[in-house]
Amino acid sequence: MRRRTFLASGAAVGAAAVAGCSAEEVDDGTGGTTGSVEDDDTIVVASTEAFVDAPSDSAGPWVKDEFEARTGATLEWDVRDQGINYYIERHNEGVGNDAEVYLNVRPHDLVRIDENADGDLFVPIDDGALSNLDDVGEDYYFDPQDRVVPTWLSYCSLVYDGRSLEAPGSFEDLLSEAYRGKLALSNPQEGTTGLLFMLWTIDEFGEDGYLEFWNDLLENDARVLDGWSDVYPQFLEEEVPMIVSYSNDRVYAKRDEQDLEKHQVGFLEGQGYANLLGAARFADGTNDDLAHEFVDFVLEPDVQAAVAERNVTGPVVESAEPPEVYRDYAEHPDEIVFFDYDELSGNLSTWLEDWGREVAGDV
Amino acid sequence: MTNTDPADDGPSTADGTSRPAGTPSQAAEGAGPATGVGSDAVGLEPAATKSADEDPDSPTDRQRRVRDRLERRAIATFAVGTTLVLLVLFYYPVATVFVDAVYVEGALTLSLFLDLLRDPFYFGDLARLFAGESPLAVVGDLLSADRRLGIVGFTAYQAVLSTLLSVALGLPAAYLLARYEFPGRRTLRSLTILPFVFPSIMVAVGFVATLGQNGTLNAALGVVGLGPVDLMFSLEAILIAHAFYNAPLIARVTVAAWESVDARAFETARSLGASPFRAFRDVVAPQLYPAVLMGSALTFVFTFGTFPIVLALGGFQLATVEVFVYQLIRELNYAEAAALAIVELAISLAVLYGYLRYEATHVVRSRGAQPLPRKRLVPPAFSARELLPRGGLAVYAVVALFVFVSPIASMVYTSLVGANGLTLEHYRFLLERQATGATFQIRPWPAVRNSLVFAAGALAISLPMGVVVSVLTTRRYRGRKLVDVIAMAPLAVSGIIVGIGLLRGPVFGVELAGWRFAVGGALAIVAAHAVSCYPFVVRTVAPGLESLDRSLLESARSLGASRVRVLVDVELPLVWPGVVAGAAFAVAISMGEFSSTVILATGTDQYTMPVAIERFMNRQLGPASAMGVVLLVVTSISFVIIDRLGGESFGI
Repeated sequence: MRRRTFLASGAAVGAAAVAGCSAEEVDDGTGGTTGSVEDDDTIVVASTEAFVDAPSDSAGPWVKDEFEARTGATLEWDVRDQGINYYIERHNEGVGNDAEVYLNVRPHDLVRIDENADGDLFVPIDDGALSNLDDVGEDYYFDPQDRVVPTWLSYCSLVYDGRSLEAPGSFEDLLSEAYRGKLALSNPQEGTTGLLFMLWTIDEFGEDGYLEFWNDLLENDARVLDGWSDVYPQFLEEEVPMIVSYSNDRVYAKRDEQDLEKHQVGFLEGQGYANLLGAARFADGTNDDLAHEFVDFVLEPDVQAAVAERNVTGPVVESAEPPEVYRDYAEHPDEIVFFDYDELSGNLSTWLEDWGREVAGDV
Repeated sequence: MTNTDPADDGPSTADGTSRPAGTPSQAAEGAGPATGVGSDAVGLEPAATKSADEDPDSPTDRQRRVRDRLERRAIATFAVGTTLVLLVLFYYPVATVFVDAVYVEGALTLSLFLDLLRDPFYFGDLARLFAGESPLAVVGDLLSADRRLGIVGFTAYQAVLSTLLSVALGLPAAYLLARYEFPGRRTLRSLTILPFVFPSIMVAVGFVATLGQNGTLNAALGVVGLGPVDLMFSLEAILIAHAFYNAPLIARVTVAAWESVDARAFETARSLGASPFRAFRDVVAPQLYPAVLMGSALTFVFTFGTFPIVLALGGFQLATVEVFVYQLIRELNYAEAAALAIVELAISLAVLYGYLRYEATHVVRSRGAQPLPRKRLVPPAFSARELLPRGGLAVYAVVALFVFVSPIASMVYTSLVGANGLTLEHYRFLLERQATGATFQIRPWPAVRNSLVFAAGALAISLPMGVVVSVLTTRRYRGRKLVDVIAMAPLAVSGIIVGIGLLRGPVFGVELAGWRFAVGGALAIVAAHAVSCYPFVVRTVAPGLESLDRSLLESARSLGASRVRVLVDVELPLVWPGVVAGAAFAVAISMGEFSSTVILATGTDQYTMPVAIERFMNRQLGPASAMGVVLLVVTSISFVIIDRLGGESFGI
């Protein structure tokens, strides 16, 4: 490298660096939004990757187009890799959140928010402003502080290769020789399905007995991998014939022209663990009307049905009519297992930590 | 001495500009022919050689004086710039997270560390030593069969094994590439860096297809009537995957050292009656040890901080320290996460420091090298001496096929297979996603473009940074190895800690005097990449600078060349292979980086290829594999270009 280019590159890098910086005057203490100029007909909605940007198909684009067509407003999705943690961070740093609504809050997210956020990250939604609330099943509410309006529901279950395995009927079956080395699931500390399964075992064996079950499960060569996106490929690659996943798996298999014999759903003890999701309003939000309009839109029966098809999650609205493929192939457990907020609060991190200490280092 | 004239296109690898023509530099010429700086060297005549008949006040003269002064301070300026970049974009952000470990509820405390050190879960039997038990009893237990390693102990144990396996698989490759001539050798050499770039999620799938119950290995064993072996979900699978990532690293640095061995010394030893083996042992090997150890030290640090691959191929029973750092961060338990990350960092830096001490005492002085002539791969005669090494290489080639080629080949295969046999539908998916994907969705082309742009940006920052730090750490002063090891910290700090620190600090913005200063997402990503790859530039450039004959530098200085002039005209051309190697590593690391990129990307317009691969991996393998093939093609082309621009006999 020549001297001039050496110096020039330094100068160029310096200039580029300055170009990437921004400075703006801080609002006087209201902790208002940062950055983009808000206009009255744009709503930023925070959500999860799978909802907005799954490669197969995801509900995000349809929801955006449909909402914009019905209201004339503009919807911007905001998806962060760290999920709810990102918004807690911004909130705690005092830089505020641009998003008005978080779509797909789960009970364990609420527990984390209430343990870590300073003050209120979310505020309750004004019930009077929503016209579709009456239709939402009473059982689906999971926030005692009423910040979250339920939006969809799916079930955690086993998915197994019916060509080589029988359906396991109970947790005890998983410990038998027939299932030795057959099960893979995601790390509860990382993947949702793994967490739901761990909670399911706590429901079954109690917080004093669940670790013993896990020990036996690992004795029987169950694999705890990282995320669900590590687990599922191994099922597809036929490395493991049984995984912890969702009970709507056959809907995907049907659409993807996979072998339906291979994609069988198994409920243990006739149960499935409920994966409930909801919408919550950010305390930093500035546009109440649009936020209410959006949550109300999500609860419209036809929207619930359309999302059931695209996101393969069940509706929480009684009058929603899911499409045929969903009705035919999504499976429902006879009995639903679910820990609500009060049961999780104060326990969840302890359960997870104890689980990690029990399982790791068990070489 | 090879002519290391970078006149053709060498420097353009570094910053994409060509050299301005000018008058020959006398200082450079004074440095003797060794520099190989040709007739079109830049002419900024140093003050010492100014001709007297010039008008001292002419504008050109004034300009020249200003430029001259600038030039004299260039190193210092770059050093200050480098320090600033590192402070703002690495040390400060990381410190904001680390401080949580020692500053709890408004008071300084070491209790978190003490709790960690005394916790058998992390430190096994050693924890009892920290808790004050008698060393004899602890050592006795550690030597017994039912010893407890703890998570930290296990992490170190698998890192040591991974390093040994990487060396075992890396050295034969180095031997092949350094000592044999065959068609495609240079291309092969430039592609050895590919594994470095692969996202772990893809590698995991590739290894399942290779080592799994229905994998290629068992299929191959079945043909010869052996097997089946079940390697998945075991320590072995993790070690092999670590070797996949790190053996190429060891191979590359060793090839570089091997190619800069002075053939004359070897020939002298032979003419004095040493057998080939003896000459190798006494002349060549001592010059390879530092490189092998450097590769080993880096491999240890990488595998000590390993995370996703461990869970994907081994499972949670084989969790490492980094798994728990991630978990604690996810739980927003920053204090404990930081304490654990600091422990992790201390162990890694101790290993690096040990290596740097070794390196300092094993410098081989050189005036440039004349590589040993390469042998033909086809044996010239059928004698044991010719056949044995080649037979060994043939056996190695079979192993390498399984470890390095098979996972990648299985990915390519998966990208071409659909429900009904061979198909291009997954590539069609990429094109469709590109054409019809919404702006808030990840699309292939922006991912490719971002990867390239970020890599170029990271290269433009990390190369000058690395060169400057190399210069600063090869000067003689007390404690320079300490400075060196602190400069290596970015290699050893947990990626998620860097990401979170950058996010909470520069990206969210820092408030000063009523203004909030923030750094844009793309810039933060480039910075994070540059900071994580510049140590590689240092490690590939510094040993060369260290070993240069000081008299070259001194003669140039005595002829009036400024320090930066000597660096650019004399030293860098002589260590050019190291610079090109650093550049290749920088590009590889930037293209493969995942953990901070995914934290810092704001919106989908900043995502890179590895992120796209991860996002496309969902209930089907095709689209992600097709994106993996795109990554494969783009990075292969990049590395071959870097290698070609490095010039013949350059590049590692």
